[in-house]
Amino acid sequence: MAPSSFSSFLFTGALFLVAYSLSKLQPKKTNLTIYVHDYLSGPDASAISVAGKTGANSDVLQFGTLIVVDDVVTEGPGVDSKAIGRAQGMYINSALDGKGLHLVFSVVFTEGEFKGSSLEIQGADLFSLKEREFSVVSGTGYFSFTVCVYKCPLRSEISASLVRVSPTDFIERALPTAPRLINGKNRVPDSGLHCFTANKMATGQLFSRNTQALFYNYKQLPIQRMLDFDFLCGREIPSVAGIINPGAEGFQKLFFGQEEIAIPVHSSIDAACSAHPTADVFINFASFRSAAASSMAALKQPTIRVVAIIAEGVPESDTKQLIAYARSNNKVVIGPATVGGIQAGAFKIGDTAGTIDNIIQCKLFRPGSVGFVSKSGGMSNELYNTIARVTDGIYEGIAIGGDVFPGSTLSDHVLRFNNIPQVKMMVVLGELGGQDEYSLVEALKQGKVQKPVVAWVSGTCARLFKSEVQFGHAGAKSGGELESAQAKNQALRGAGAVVPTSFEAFEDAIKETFEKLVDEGKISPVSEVKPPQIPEDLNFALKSGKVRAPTHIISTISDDRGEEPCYSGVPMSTIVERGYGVGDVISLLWFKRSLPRYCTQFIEICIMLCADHGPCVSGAHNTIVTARAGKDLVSSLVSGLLTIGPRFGGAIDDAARYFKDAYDRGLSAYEFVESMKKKGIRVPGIGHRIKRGDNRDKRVELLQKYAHTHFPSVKYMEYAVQVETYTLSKANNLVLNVDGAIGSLFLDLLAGSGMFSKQEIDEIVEIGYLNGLFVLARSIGLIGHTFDQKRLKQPLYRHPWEDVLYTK
Amino acid sequence: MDIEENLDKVCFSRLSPAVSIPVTMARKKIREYDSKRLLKEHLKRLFGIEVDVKSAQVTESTDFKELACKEPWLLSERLVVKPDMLFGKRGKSGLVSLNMDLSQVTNFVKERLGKEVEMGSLRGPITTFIVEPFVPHTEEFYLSIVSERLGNSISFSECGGVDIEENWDKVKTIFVPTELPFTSALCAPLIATLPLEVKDILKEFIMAVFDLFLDLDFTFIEMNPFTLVNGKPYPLDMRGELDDTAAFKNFRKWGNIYFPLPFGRVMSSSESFIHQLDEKTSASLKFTVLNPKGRIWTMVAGGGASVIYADTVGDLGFASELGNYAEYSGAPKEEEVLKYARVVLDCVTENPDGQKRALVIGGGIANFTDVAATFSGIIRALKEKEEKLKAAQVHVYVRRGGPNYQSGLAKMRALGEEIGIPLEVYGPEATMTGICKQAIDCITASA
Repeated sequence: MAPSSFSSFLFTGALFLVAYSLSKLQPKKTNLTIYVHDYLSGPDASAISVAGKTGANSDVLQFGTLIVVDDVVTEGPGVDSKAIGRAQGMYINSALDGKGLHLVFSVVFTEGEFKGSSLEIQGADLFSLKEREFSVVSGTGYFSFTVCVYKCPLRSEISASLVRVSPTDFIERALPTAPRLINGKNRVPDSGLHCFTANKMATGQLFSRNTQALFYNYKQLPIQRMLDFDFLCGREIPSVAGIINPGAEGFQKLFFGQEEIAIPVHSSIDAACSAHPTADVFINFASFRSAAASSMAALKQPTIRVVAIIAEGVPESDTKQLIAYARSNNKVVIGPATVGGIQAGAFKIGDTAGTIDNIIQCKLFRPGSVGFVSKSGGMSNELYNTIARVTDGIYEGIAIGGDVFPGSTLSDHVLRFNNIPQVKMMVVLGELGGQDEYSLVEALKQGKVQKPVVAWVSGTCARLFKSEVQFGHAGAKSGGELESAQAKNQALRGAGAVVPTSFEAFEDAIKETFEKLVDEGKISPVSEVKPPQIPEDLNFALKSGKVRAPTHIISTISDDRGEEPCYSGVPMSTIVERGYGVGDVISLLWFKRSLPRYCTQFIEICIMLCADHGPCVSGAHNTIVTARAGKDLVSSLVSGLLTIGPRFGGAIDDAARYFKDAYDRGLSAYEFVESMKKKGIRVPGIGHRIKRGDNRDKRVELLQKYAHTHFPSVKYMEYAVQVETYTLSKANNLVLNVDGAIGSLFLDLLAGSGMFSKQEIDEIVEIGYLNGLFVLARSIGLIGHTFDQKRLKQPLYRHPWEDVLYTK
Repeated sequence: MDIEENLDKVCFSRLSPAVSIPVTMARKKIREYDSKRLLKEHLKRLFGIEVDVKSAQVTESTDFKELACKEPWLLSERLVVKPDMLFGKRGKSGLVSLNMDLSQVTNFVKERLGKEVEMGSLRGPITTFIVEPFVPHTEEFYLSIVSERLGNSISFSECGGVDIEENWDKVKTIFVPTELPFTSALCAPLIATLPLEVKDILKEFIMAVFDLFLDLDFTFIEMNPFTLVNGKPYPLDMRGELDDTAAFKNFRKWGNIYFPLPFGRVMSSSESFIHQLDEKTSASLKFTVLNPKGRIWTMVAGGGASVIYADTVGDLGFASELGNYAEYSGAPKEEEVLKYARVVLDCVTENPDGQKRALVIGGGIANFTDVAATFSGIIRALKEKEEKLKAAQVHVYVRRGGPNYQSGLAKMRALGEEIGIPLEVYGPEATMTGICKQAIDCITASA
């Protein structure tokens, strides 16, 4: 990073402290999360450089620079959340290479529970580390004799991957990382304090308004829904930083409100994580087959903290590996088999919470006070609605997924919600089966959860099903009955949760609990905001008949939208069942009708006759040269096809045109040939390099014989023969060639079948159908030549000098 | 109660595959025959350990002569025969016969094949037997491995057999965390008290079975008992459960595995029709009749919601009137919904008795299912069954939300007027289960 860019980012520190105050030598533990917002530049700068090697404007990245700070300290991660104090002091660049600061400041609490107290924080700030530890060396007031360490995931860099440039100079990139409890060391060995151990899961916020995710396995709709949610919430940056689509790279266009943005697509998890180091959520839309491997790869990335797995059917043993890895590395797995989760007004995973209408209805575009966790993803949407109806709405909602062993459990999230100040009460929707609810029961009994919990465990109907009661709940030792919904509801009730008597009463229980908190003054009213309008998608609007849009392409010959493709309305199965040939398919796709079998057979004969004409003709020659130059099949084929034109192969159309014109105008063969001669045009379809009047082209004879047998009329062909008779009188090589035969016979086919109007026939001749026949036929031969050369491993062709006349 | 049920813990899904409750049903019980087959085949593949267990499976289609050609030991050895139907307590129910020859086995099977037996509250025919050599033995060891969220627990006892429960205090259990390898040191507490001459053999066996458990994606293995034959471990009885979601990586190792329906699960014709429908589609269509004479019937969208509707009818005190459990989800096609709804409606309207009935067409707020589209299948079925609905005095209660719900609900309302059956329609403004209460009021008012 260039030093000059340092001033263009702010850094926000989340300090998560566990403070032990010594009172009468009885340690008292306080969990505290505060957020320090440190702006080095911009209108709200709260840190200034005052001295250094180059004077007062010295760069913070330079050894010796002294910065004085007076940063706002807030309760929540957003700079607009409640201010509870100031962080005042200084930091000095104290590393010769400029890569470390020494930091000394006091957190002076001016509001809230600790008003009037302060904390003294000091230590080395090696800012290249994503997380640093500092010592809390002492404190005053409430924190007298405090000692502890805090870990601070201090700043994050502006990611270069952000394609949409924000109109504001400063994009708040407040840590996407949640504050975490650390494995602190006892700094005062004799004080009698306990060592505290690392928690197995993040203990606070997982997401913020600035959280960005990487999205694995491109799926347009869920990403668009995330971006729509972002826009609704007034997020400045999209919540999807990058997309990982194995094997693909580039950008994917999506809407962010009204404008389109391009989101980078990466081909590997590694590449995506290094391109987007601040994206710490990994949303995995891989199939159940590959979800485990990609999730593990993501968990192993240092930048990824939360992995959400959507797939259902991930093998249990694979999930267990993910759980074990996440636990020992302090990461969070949501799912598998989940829709995800949502932090209202901040961040949403994939398809969570349904349509935009529903999100607005459930007020999910702004935070409320309720933390919600459920097993079922489907029911979470219902509960968002319920909760919005009777409370000020959701703060965060998580669906842990329906698997036997979810990556994170109901109690994990309830305990996390307990640590989030904005969450004032929790709603839990459990399910029968498993023991997870009992860890919540334990947590409640041990007083680890201080906020009200309203819970319901569904599945009370299980006892109505006779069979599984027998199979299920026989064991006294292993607690089969314990896993019933009834037992769990009872246990939760016993541990102090509010548990209704039925799901129907759940809403009232939530309502009463919320209202009690309001009455107690624990919940201050949410200031309502009006979310912006999201433009409706064209597809949806079209479907609902609200708008109409012109199409850009029209097609009349085939339709692939139904159960099976149709050629001119004839389904593929009919084509196969009735034993149609290539000629029939051509008649459907080119002429848009089913021609009689004798016609389609004639088409097939033409194709067979024109399929190849040896290696020496221009087309084949070009193809051979190209194939020998090592080019691929398509290049070799088209290089041959490109020779087809007025001199090579293109005579069928012209022959048909001129014969038709002359015949229709009633010209005699003599008049026709002579008029052509006057115009200086050779009669197309007449003349052959080798064939003579006494050595007719076999192919012409075959075609004529077929037509005589099958065609109702061969008037054009007979006319062509008259022309030939006349030209043969002029020169022996002016025979009717295969082009002339096909051209004239095709006119007979079109006219004789009775299935084409005069205009249609004119059009067919005019727009080059017959040339198409030759192109199609000859492609068979050209492809054959390509394969032939490749099979023979022929080297690059070079024309011999001797065969070239070099002259001026 | 025996040990099989004792250890049958952990999760409802595994306990109740008999019921179409939409809990992920990853764990599938397999027959004793298959458990032993996998054990024998893969201990050899993985460790070169030969387990000399021989088993033959006998079903309705078995020709004993052919079987004896394939498994000649059937003719030369004394035999044991027992049902292989995923239930325990076989010995105590007189369903195990020891020390027989093949003709006795044939008679034993003939007398019982296809006959219904009652195990606890479940009834069902016996369709599959397992036949094995009769192995006289003295030692009976117990071994089980259970998959848990953070690892696997292994239980072992030298006092296995039918009385394991009485001897449960002699069972030693260790826990192997997922992230740790299963080492000799971890294994040590299980075998600490064993005599020296068998200690190593059993340690090797336990560790090998554990690796096999992981390798084959077992979620549960139990051998009760196993013994030593010629100094080698030999399972006499064995149970296993596989994680069927891992089938895609194990189909070769598992071989021709079959996951039988739980014992006692006998489907009515309408249930099995829908079961077949369900197997053919990517969507989920579930239907279980609880009480054919019930007067409250449900047809609910979504796994979570359908359970809650059934719960609520029960929690409000009307479990006895609940006719069925039914769930459709995963965006079924209109035609599929139509076929499904027809069957449900036939059950709802069967044998009119002059009393009112209620049909609850419920659902939560869909994430992305087009409500109008799924409703059109139901509406077509309701139209078709108009006469039957009227004859059975069915009142219909609808509640649903989600994409396009307004037009879906409007179509439903229009239908009510069109065919003239009492039909009430609610959207997301109403609670999800409010219509359960209404359904109850409806049938109690008529009582």
